[in-house]
Amino acid sequence: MSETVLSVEHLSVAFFTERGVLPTVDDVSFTLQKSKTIGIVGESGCGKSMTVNGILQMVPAPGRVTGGSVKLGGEELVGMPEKKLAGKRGSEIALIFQEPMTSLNPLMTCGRQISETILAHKRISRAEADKRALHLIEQVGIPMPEKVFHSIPGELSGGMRQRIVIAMALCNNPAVLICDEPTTALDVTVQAQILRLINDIKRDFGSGVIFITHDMGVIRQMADDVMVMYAGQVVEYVHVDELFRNPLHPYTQGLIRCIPGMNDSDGELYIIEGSVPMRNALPKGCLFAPRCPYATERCRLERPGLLGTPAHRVRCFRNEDGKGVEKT
Amino acid sequence: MKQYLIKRVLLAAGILFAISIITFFVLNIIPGDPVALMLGDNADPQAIETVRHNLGMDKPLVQQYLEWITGFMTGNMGESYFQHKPVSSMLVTSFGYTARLAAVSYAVALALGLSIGIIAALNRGNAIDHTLMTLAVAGISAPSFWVAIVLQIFIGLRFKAIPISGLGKPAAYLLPCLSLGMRYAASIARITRTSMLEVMNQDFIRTARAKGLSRRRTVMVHMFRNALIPIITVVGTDLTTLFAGSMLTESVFNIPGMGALLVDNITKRDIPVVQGGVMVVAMLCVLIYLAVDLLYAAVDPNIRLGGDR
Ligand SMILES: Nc1ncnc2c1ncn2[C@@H]1O[C@H](COP(=O)(O)OP(=O)(O)OP(=O)(O)O)[C@@H](O)[C@H]1O
Ligand SMILES: [Mg+2]
Repeated sequence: MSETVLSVEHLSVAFFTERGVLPTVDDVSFTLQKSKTIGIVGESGCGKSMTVNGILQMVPAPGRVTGGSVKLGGEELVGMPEKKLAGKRGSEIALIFQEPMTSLNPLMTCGRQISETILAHKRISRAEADKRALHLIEQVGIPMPEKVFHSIPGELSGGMRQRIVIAMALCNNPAVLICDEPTTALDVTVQAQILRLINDIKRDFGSGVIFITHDMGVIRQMADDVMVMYAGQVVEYVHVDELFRNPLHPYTQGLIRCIPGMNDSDGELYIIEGSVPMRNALPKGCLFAPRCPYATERCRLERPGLLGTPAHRVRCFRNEDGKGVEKT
Repeated sequence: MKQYLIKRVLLAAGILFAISIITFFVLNIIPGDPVALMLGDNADPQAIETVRHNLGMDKPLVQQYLEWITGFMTGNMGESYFQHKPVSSMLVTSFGYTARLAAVSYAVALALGLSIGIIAALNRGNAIDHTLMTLAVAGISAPSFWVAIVLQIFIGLRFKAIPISGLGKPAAYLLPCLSLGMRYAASIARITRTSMLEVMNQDFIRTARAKGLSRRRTVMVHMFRNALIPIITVVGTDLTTLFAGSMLTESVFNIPGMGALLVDNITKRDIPVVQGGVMVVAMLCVLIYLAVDLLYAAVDPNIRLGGDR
């Protein structure tokens, strides 16, 4: 029935700097099924991209994965030799980046950038790889594929570049497709087209998708399950419908109230006061306590674990009994 | 692109023309009379006058210049005052030495500099990087004539097979090319490292890695090619100084190159030789800069497009 393509358990990433060890991703766990999408939301800097880097074993120095396990199709990636990892990246697990303007090599034609990805993983001729690349360019809805094949990124618009990045990610039919804010840098109409394209891909290729965004509206459209992150921790993990029907964590509630059009009554935009704490000055208790309207003495002194039921996990003491807490 | 090329060539011609005027008049205005030098201190004024007349030096300067430049355009650079040989043949001989020395030295410099720069960048911050960069700073700070003398003493005098003067045998290239090459290798290494580091942090390198490309391909195809532009600039500047003749190195190793030729003949006021030499060097510099511009466009298609880099 449902087939697990990726399982992440207790993944932690930390940066080892002169100011000390900065925990950046803290004990993240989830499993991803074939043809499903897991959404990851959270404010800027909460560790979404670092989670991705941790999964791909590509955390930049001075950071590294400090614990946990990442199993891709049953194979452990943590501690796998770099050569073998390279064989997985771009073929079994592929990544679409946040920044289409800078994530392509400015000096290489788009066609080559796709075909070199194919050639890195398959023993076929250059001509065959080029043919397949051309076909992919067509598949992601680019008009005049031959022309674009021979274009360098500088000749294309942001939306077109992102399609090239997507074609590149797809070229070896990955089991897992990670989209790290794929539409943040694009304008709204292009954004809608790209989102539809990603959903088509999920359907046609059967890939499991990890979709990262800080846009709750987009999450609602794209995700099956949603993981809400705050300061490197998962604070809520639940099916998307339940997330919007009954958000339990005060942070999630805040994020939902931030969506334009979801405002309570007066039409004024809601904002969550304060900002994500610096990693070298984390509060002693719950990481969200300094910004939480419900914070108690206990929240400030003690850090909550991931509580609630298996179907709806929340990192908040208010949910300790496992039952939902009424939205106030 | 074609239009751009035409513009560049015209500009180059203009620059050369200006240089020819400036050198000509400066050489003729600075004090020191070649004829007085030629005939000795207590020469007969009448004799001096005759020689000046024979050499065409009594004509108005502007006329002399016009005669010289028309000659130059048709390949006749005149005759040396002192050696009575055509300037062009003297230049060919001297430039031959300088060009051979420059080519071999710079090949050494490129091979060393690029590999050191790349290796240092890939090892940023660790002991390998620090060692290589310390060497590079030493290489830039040590004057190459000093390195040359040190090499002569410690290698040349010890191994008889390695000559310390001239460029007769292939082995004779070793010491001068090392001493010259090391200095340039050091500056190439530094710019390569800096440029590589800048590229390494860019998103598309992360893409290359996420695509599962081999380390080798990521470094050579994606990093290095994108790091090339600043390196080409440095290479262009280096080559122009090399072709003007590395006077000190040439004199330490007793190589009769452009540097030696120009210095000798400036002291003697052998104006046609100096004028011809300066023009050849200037033409070469202009050509190198033109080549550098073309290389930029070849490496980075965005420049051809007038694009966004
Ligand atoms: N070189 C570094 N040294 C120390 N900490 C770092 C370093 N690089 C990243 N971090 C940490 O990683 C965090 C950024 O995480 P990440 O890039 O995953 O955020 P994000 O959720 O993807 O944000 P965005 O929405 O802006 O992409 C920072 O808050 C910082 O604490
Ligand atoms: Mg990010």
